[in-house]
Amino acid sequence: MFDGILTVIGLAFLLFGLFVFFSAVLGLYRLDYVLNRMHAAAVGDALGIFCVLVGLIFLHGWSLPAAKTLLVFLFLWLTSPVASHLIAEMEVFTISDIRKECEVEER
Amino acid sequence: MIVLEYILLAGLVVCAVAAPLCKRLLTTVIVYMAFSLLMAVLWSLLQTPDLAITEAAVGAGITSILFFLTLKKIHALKGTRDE
Amino acid sequence: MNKTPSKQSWWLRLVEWVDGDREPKDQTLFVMEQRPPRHVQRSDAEFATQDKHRLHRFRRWYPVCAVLICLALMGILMAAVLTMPTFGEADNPINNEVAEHYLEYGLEETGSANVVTAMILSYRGFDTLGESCVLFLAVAAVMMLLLRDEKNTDEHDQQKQEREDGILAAHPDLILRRAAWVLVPFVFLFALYVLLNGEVSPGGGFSGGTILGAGLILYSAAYGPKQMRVLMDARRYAAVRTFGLVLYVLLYGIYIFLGANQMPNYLTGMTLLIDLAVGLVVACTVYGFYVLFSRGEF
Repeated sequence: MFDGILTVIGLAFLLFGLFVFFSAVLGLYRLDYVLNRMHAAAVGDALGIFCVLVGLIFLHGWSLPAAKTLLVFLFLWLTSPVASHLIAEMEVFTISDIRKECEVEER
Repeated sequence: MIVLEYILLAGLVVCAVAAPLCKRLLTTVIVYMAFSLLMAVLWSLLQTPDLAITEAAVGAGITSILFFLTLKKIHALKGTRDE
Repeated sequence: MNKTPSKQSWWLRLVEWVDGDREPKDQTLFVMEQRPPRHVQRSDAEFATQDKHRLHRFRRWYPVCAVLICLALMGILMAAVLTMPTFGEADNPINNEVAEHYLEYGLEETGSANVVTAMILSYRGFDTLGESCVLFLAVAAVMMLLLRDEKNTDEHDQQKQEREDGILAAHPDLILRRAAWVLVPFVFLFALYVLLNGEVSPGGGFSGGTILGAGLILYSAAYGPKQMRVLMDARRYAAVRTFGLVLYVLLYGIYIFLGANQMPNYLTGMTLLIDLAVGLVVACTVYGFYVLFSRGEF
């Protein structure tokens, strides 16, 4: 009974994560401007990774690989936003008429 | 597992065909990166974790960095031309 | 530049040629903009139309030839795959006594539980020595081409580089720096784990060295060249690079000596040290490529 509940929770997390990834990819294709597309990809990435990895931990049960999965999750949450930030900063630096597209904070 | 393998193999073929057909060099490098990642997963499915680690580090990481730097050096990236 | 080329010895001429002071005679096959002989000089319009025509012809035939070559290669490879033995069969030609010997005696002969590491670093260590030499020479060749010094840098390049450095120093990316400050120690730790654990688990010199080089690249990208020089300047880099190769050669020499003289192998930690040497060479190669491609100096 307990195992069944865990499996259901895990599957729900996994499917929700896949849905988030799908919407991220959709946003990447659908949106026009670079920063919007990057935002969709970055946000979808973070939430999708969280949901998929938590779902995997629920499905697999608590063990050493689950702890390693948590470490992977930590690493990805640390690096993926930084990478998105760098891409966005590069876009702001290189586009001369960025003010036409959006508001930019002065540094 | 065999279904996953077939999906990855199809992805490999798609990446291999897409890499030379891309119009921009930057896209080609990114597609090549995706190829390396798929290959790394396939190596680990084929039970060669040594190769998988090396492929992920060299193919997806270092080679792409070197390609990007080369593109920057020959001014093929947007915004690096000095005017 | 060359006053009396005939009287100089061939060595001096070669040195001049290597330095780029002396132009070789124009014997190249494909000269792109060769001036046509005077008696058949054409007008510019004629030139343009001819160029366009040639380009057009090239554009038309290039995809056809490319597709044909690709199809031929694909056919050859497919034919080769069709004649290959089935994957995983017991009586395949690769399942002979050599593989059996490796699997059976690998642990006691080399002291490493991972058969791949045992094979790469002990049984086939000579191949790996060649690979390490190739990596070493590759960095040397890239250094020859891309290293910045007084001879190949002009004022314009220097100013551009200084301007870029100034921009980077004036606006340090705080987010990247904080992330790198957290991540770099763990990247190094993982690299050392993969390096030194190559005996018993997947990994070893090549993958661990690559991760180590990637960590160095991350540090260099986040903190800039000035901070990086504290950790590794040109002299230290050369020292580490050479030390790795020399260590490998020495250790493997001892290995060959012991094996050839039928002496018992008491040096159990040997594979570990060889792994470390290969890892140093690979890390230096990767980091050197990055530095030379991006800035051209350490």
